[in-house]
Amino acid sequence: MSSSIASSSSSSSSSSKKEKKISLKTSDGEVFEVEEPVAMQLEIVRSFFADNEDVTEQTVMPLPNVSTAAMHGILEYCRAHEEFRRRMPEAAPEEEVRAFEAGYVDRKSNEELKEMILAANYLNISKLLDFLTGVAAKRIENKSVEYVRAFFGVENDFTPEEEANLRREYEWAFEGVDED
Amino acid sequence: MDQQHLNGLNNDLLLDIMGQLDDSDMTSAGCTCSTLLHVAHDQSLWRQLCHSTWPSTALNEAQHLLSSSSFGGFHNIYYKNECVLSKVFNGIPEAVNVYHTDNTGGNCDYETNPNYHQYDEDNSHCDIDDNERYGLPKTLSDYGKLRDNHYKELAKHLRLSWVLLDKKKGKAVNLSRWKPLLIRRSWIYNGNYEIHFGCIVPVEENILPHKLAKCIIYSYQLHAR
Repeated sequence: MSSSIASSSSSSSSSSKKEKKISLKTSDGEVFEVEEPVAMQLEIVRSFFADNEDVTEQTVMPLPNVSTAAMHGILEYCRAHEEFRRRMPEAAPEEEVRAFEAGYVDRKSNEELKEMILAANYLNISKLLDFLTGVAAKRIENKSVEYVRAFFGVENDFTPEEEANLRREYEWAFEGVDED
Repeated sequence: MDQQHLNGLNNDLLLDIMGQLDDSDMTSAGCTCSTLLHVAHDQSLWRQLCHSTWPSTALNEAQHLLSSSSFGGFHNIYYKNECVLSKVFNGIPEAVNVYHTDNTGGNCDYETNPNYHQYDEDNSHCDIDDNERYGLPKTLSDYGKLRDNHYKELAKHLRLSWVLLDKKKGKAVNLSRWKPLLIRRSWIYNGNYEIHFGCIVPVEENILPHKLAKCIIYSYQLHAR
C-alpha cells in the first residue's frame, strides 16, 4: 500500500504541469523542483517566501543543512501527506497514513533516521519531526545500554566507578532488556 | 565533542526522543554517557512522567508546590513517590478513603469524581457501621448533648487516607496526615460535620490557600445504616 501511494504522489506531481513549483537547493548542490503545497509543509520555506517580498518563482532557496539523500526522504513523506490531504481534506485516512509511515521508516537505517531527524528539525516540519523522534524512541525501547550507545554513536565517558554507581542506583531499569 | 558524538542531535532533539520513552528506558539511556545522563535528568521529562503517572501532579496548586525547592524536582518526586495534593472539593483523580480506626469492616469509602466540585448525595456515599459505638449521633437533635464528645470521638477515630495510585506499577502512596486537623459542624450544610485533613506535603496557607482536604460527612448518610 505504501509503495502505491508513493508512486501515485510522484505521478500526480509530474502530471500537473501548471502547478507552481518551488526550487530548493540541497547542500550538495542538487536543485529540487517541489510543488508549492508540498514545499510549504517545510516551515523554513514557507516563512522564507512569506517574509521576503522580493523573492520570485525563479528564486532558488538554498538549504545548506540538508543533503540530497535526506531531501528525497523528506519529500517522499511530505508528498504522501499532501496526497492524503488532497484526497481527504477533512480527515486523514488514519489507517493508510499509519501503513505508509510504517513502510516508510522500515526502509530507513538508524543513520538515515538520524539524518532525517536533523533535516526535519532544520526545515521545521513539526509533524515529520514528531513522527521521526517517536520512531527513534521506539528503536531504543527496551534495549541495553550498549545498544543505545551504538544507536546514538556515543562513547562511554563515565569512569568505572561512576558507571557502577549508576548501574546500582538504577538497577531496576535494566531488567528485561533486549540484548540485540 | 558530544555534539559530534551524537551526530549533531542537539539537546532539544534528544529531549524529544527521550520524552517518548518510559521511565526505565529513559534511565537506561541516561547510563550511556554524560550527555545523555544530563538529558535524562531534565525536569521537563520527569514532569511529564509524573503527570501521566499521577494526574494530580498536573493541578495548578500541585505544580506551584512541587516547583518549590524542598522537593528537589520532579526526578526526585518520581523516584521517592513524594506526591502531591489536591483539594477534595475539587476532586482528586485518585481515591480518598475515610474510615474509622479500630473498626472491622466498617470502612467508609469516599468516592471522588473530578468532575464535581462538591460532594452531594449523588456522588458520594459514606457508610460507617455501628455509629453509636463511635459516638456518632443518631439524629441532629443529639448534637447539642453530644457535641463536645463527638468532636473528640471523631478526631480520635476518623482517619483519611488520601491515596495516589500509580496505575502503571500498581503502587500507591498515602498523602494525608491521617488525623483530622479540624472538625466542626457546618451550618451551611445542614449541620453536617466538616472535617479538615492536612496533607503530608507541608503547606503554608497564607501562600497557598485551600490546601486542606475538606470532607463533609453527611449526618443523614451516617444514619442511613
